[in-house]
Amino acid sequence: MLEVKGLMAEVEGNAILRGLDLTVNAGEVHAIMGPNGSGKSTLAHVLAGREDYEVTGGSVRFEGRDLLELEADERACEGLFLAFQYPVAVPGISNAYFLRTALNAVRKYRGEAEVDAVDFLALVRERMKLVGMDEKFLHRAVNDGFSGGEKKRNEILQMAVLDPKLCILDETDSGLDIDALRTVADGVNQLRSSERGIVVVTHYQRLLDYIVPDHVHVLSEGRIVRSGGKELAQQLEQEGYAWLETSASGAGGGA
Amino acid sequence: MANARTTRRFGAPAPDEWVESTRRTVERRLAVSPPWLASLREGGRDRFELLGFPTRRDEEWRYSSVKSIVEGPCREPIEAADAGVDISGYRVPALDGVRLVFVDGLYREDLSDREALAPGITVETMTEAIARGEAALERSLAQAPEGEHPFHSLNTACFADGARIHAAAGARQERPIHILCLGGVGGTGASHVRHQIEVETGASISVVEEYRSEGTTFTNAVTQVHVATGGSLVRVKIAQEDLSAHHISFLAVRQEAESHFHDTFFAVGGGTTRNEIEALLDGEEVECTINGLYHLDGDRQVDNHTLLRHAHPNCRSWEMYRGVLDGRSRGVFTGKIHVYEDAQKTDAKQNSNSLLLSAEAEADTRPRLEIHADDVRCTHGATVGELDESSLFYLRSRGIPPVEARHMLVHAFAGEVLDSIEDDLLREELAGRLAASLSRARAEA
Repeated sequence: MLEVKGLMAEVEGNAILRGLDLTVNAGEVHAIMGPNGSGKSTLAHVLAGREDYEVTGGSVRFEGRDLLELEADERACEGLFLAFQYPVAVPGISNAYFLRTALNAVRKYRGEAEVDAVDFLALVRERMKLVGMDEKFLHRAVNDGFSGGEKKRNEILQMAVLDPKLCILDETDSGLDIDALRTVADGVNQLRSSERGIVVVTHYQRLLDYIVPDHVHVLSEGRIVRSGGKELAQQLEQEGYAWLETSASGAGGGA
Repeated sequence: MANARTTRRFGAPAPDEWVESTRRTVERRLAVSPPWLASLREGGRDRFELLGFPTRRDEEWRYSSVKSIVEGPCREPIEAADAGVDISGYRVPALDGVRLVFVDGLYREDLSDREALAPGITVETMTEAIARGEAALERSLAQAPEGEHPFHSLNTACFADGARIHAAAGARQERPIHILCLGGVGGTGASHVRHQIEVETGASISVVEEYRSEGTTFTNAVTQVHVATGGSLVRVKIAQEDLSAHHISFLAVRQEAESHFHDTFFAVGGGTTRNEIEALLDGEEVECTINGLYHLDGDRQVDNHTLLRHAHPNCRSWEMYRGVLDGRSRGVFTGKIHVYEDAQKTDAKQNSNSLLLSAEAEADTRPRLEIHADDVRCTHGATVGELDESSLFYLRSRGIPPVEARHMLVHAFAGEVLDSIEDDLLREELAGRLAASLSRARAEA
């Protein structure tokens, strides 16, 4: 589904990703862990198509297409979804209007008929239950005045409505208390399917207690330095990231 | 106020062409004016000649390009009294009740509709009120604004007609009364209209003043509003004239105790527009809202000039002006709040926000607070910015194409002004017109 090869990217001239390889197949949940500054969020945003990041090398194929050739909105329509670490507040646009516009944009791209207001409401109500969101949030401006937990639930709601093939969750656990974390994780788990790939980007192992990954990768200085099963996450929890310095330089890839 | 009238000359004398055409117009008006009005008109004509035209050296006109107006049409258009005019396009569901239509400044009974008036509401033309010998007219027409300028004097001298709306004590009209002014029908020219809206104690009405035109017309409109104790007036002004048209308007408001006034200036047309508002909060517990929303592209400009005079304690005013500026357009907001010594517990909020859609567009904001009371709350805020890139990316990351995403964000910016219009039909009508204006500008860019 997703094939990242030797990806290099920089922000304002600073190299962040330095040859990253990652393959995600349908039905798999991958966790990407790493210390601050290792390039986790950059990877998420580069995949989503943010323009402030310049790709300087490598390739990304998504469902057989060259992802890097596509605009951010086209990537979303192709089925890629990024749940933001910091969801953006958009005053003046209601959540319902935003979601329906997005859903219809995606459907239009796929050659499907637009969803009318009645059908949309039925769909969104059902999906709101998945993340335990109150219906009043439909009529509030997008993320405007939402608490941290409400914003993250809103991200998962959007994911549930847009039904993407590949979900990238960027630090979805940050700023959440344990109850909110559990709700959000439950929502994500219900969206796990054999057709969908999920990439969980996180600093802490905590989220992975709830969204149990099939594969765990450790990112350091813009490269994946170690991959393993879910036990790797537990090891990181116990040992921290300090060992990376030695192992990374041991592998000859130190800064 | 007569003694306070300024007699200083503005930067540029009125060109001969203006002086001559004004004299001719006044001559024609005198023939049909009662003596008191004839003398007002002559006074207006003389003051116009004395004042001359402002230039950018005149502080209050620093950002207004009066030059293009002075070089534009000054004669009245050829009389189009009988011209066939199709107004079906202006009869939208939001505005399909009582309607007064003025073509090139002249009233057209055949296009108007005064059937659906609620009890206590009188809608007549200025000509009718003058012929009737309406007692209050002489005094009200003689009132001059604090900063009288030649366009106001010109209006007094030359106005042909206008709407006169009166709501008797306790009267209510559900749907807005529509004043539709069409310009450029009898060829391009200048028209001067004078409207008066009088809301008596406890009465409640809404009025939509709409301006449409074809060609480089010049419209000079003066509207006088009086809301008596506990009365309520909602006014929406739609400026949707030809993109090369010149438009100068002056709104004078006087509110008595516990009255409400809610004004929205909505501009999606016109080449050079000056929107001037002077409101006197002349009693306690007055609420006054003065909002504006305008979309500009090309070389077009809108110059908003507001003055709120808080003369008594415990009054509240809100001002929110939002401009969406594209091309090489220019939006100006000069807002003055004057709090008198007695006006304790004044609560005044002023906001001016401009959204720049192009690097060459320009916004100027000049808030001015003049506060003589010590226990007041007056705030003003101004922002000038481009579309927020992170919001744009957020929308696009959900599959919304860039053009639509930008569109949504512009509407979100404008939304707050539109949302303050309670009438659903009217709000949706204006949202549609804003969308059409944005689409047109994009198609032409």
